[in-house]
Amino acid sequence: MSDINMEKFAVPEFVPERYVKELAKSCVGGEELAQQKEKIQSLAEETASALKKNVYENYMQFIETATEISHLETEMYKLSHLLSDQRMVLTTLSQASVLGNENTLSRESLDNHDLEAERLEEERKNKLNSISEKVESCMNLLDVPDRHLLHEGDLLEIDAEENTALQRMHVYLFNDCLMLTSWISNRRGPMRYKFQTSYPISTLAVVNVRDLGTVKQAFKVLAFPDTRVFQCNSLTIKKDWLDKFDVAKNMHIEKENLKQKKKDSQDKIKHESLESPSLSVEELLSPQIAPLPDWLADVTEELDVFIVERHFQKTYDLMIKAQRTLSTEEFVTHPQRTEILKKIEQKQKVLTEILLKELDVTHNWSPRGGLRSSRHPVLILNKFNMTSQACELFLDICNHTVKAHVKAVQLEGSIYSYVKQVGEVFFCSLSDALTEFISLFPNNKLSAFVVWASMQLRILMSQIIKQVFTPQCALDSILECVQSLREQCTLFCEFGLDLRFQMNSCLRSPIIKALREYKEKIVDSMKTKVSEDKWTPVNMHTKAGVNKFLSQMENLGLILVRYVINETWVDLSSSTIWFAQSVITVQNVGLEIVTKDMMDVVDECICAIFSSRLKFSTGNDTTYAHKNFKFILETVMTHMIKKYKDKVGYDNVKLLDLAVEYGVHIAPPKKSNITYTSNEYL
Amino acid sequence: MFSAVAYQLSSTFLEEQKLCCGRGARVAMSKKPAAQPTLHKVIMVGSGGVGKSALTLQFMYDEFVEDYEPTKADSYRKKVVLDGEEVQIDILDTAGQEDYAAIRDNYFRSGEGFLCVFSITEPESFDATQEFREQILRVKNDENIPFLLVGNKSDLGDKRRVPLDACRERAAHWQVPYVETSAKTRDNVDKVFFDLMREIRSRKSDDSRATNGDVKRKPRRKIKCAIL
Repeated sequence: MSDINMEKFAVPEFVPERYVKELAKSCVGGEELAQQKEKIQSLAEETASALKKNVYENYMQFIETATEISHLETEMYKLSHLLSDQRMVLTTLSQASVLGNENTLSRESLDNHDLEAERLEEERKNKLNSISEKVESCMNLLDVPDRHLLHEGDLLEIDAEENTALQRMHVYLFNDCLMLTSWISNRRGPMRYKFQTSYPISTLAVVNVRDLGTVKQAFKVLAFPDTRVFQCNSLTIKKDWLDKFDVAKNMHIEKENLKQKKKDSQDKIKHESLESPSLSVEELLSPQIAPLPDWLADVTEELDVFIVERHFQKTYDLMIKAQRTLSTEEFVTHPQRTEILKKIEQKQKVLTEILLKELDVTHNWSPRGGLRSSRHPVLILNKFNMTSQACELFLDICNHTVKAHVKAVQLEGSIYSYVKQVGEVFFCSLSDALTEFISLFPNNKLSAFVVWASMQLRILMSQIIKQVFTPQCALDSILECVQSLREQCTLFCEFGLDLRFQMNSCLRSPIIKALREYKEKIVDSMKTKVSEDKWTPVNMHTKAGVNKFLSQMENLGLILVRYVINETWVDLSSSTIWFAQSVITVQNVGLEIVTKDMMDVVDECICAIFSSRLKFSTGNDTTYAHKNFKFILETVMTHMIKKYKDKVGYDNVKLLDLAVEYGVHIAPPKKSNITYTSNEYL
Repeated sequence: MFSAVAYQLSSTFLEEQKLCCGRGARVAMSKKPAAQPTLHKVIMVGSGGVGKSALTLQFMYDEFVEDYEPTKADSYRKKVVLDGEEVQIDILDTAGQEDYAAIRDNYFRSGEGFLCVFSITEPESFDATQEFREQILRVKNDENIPFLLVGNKSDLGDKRRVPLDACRERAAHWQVPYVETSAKTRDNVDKVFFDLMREIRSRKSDDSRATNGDVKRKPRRKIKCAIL
């Protein structure tokens, strides 16, 4: 007989047809076949249920993994964005270094002047040689000792008079001249150009063409007697060209001035030739004024770089340093002072904008970084006197973190464990926010935090109330939840912020509502319970049942051992037991859950329940019913009055009145005397 | 922002240009449509901040720019109708702060006429005109180069610090016209540009008559044709 087991189905070459054929062959008679079919069916069911189970087991994990993956994805996206930003910075820097050669050279020359200079010289020569190769009948580029390339690019030449396109050009700008070359078309392989002409920088004047009819993005080169107009592909390219022309012009002026100086004084020659590369353009333009230090002259560029690289702290430091230095006596009269200060101010604006954006939760913000990640921007904004904005945005971030944390708590198991967890998470993130807030902001902003925190609490409470205070939720589980919330709130007071009042004020109306609803429920069901009561003792069936009942009642404060008869019987009717349990629960829970200002609600509920029960009893006159009535009056009511006083410190006047009305004598005079002579009354 | 403004400017300019073209065609044009009208090259000179750019922009786009941003060297071109004839004006707005003489000379060389601007509220800028005049004469090597002395900011009469007599005296000494303008109120703005263009035009026709058929340059021939 073929045995049915999983392995057979699991093999990869399993063919259902063959399997069925074999099975049919080996089976004798229809009965056996039916048996086999049943077996296979049960096997299928088993696997199906196992599969289901597996799916359920892993379901949560699936979801978690999915959210994690989506988080990671956003993170990666952000990262790649950052990386591409930085790549841009690096490329611009490397381009800038081509023209910044002089500066780098001068800085490093102090350390290893020879090596560095040699390397640069080599590079320069290579570059010029490669240009010479590309350009047919090129002029000798290497004949001028320190010629180097500043900029090159394709431009379209425009007829200066007719505004029509003339030819495509490839233009090289060197530090000392401009070389124009035309394209050689119909050629394969690398692009080659034909030399046209070159103008020395000193004879050039560049004009930004603002308006030339239909020709856009053009600039003009005036090189007497020629006037040449070039069109660029984009505004940035044009700006680039104009900037580079400026650089070339400034370098040229610098050189001219140097020559002038050399002529002026022979002694200075040696001195200056040593230092010449490090002289900045500004110095030479205004030689009579104390020169700005290099870092100060370049401060705006440096700030730009820092901002792009997101070194916000460094940006701020540099700004302050520059501003301070500029306000010292040495520079107070410097002609460039106001200009630089103005630029720094602009940069400051840019920086604050970026920082504000950084803090803005609506703008691509992820909770993963935590509050700490916002520390730097906030601190810098504080220094710029933008505390209020920073504070607002910071609290917004806190908002989101709190929300995210609370959201992460899942509703599983009892409502109590959920509320407890939510409360813990909420107050923890609140305390995190508070400690961070205190460290970041000055004390006068603390009120903002208090307002924010109480608002958060209100939001949280409204959510919790919706979930906890439902008709399905038993009164004692509501009590548990409220108690755990209060406990955590009290713990939170240690951080110096007491939110208990706000919490209680949020809880007030739902608690009152819940108590009243509970009362209504009891009063409503009282009628049926009492009228359907058979007025006989209740059988608990087993000894264990009796013990359980006794301990339950003991928990409520009633010791009923003397009511046990015949081992398993309790000498009270079912409605009486139910009533005693309900009314004592109302009092116990009520006294715990309310705050002082709601005591009257508890009183009212207890009294209402009692009086409605007592009214029912007047109609019943069987002896057993009467006995139960007596139990309620003498045992339950007395117990409750006593318990109430123990708990609160004074009597439940309404219940006492009720007791007197029904002729119950309670209140041991001694105790009441003590209460009246106690300080409370004074 | 900037591009939006630029777009607006260019579109208004295009409309203007269309209008000009239309009018020009009605008036006199019988040339090929591709040919461009005669070009007059005007250069704005003067110290920094006297309002060269403001005058230029007011003339070009009928707008007054309050913010001051130093110019490097900007050029503008516009088609206008000068005494019934369509011409092009090319304005080179130079940098008042350009302190490198060699480059300044290059700008001056390309000009056919000059508006030498100073601010009537700023005696230093008036003094500087002397130097500009000398440089221009040196570069152009021509005593009769079309030239207007322009006292700008006439709307600020209460802050006037250059007396009118001094201005007139200097203009008379140079044998050039003197005009007071306000880039803010557009007072005399068109006048200075059109007066200068008339001078340039008469100067060109004198030249071509002098050379008498010796046609070196296209524009001159065109001018001659137009006059004949």
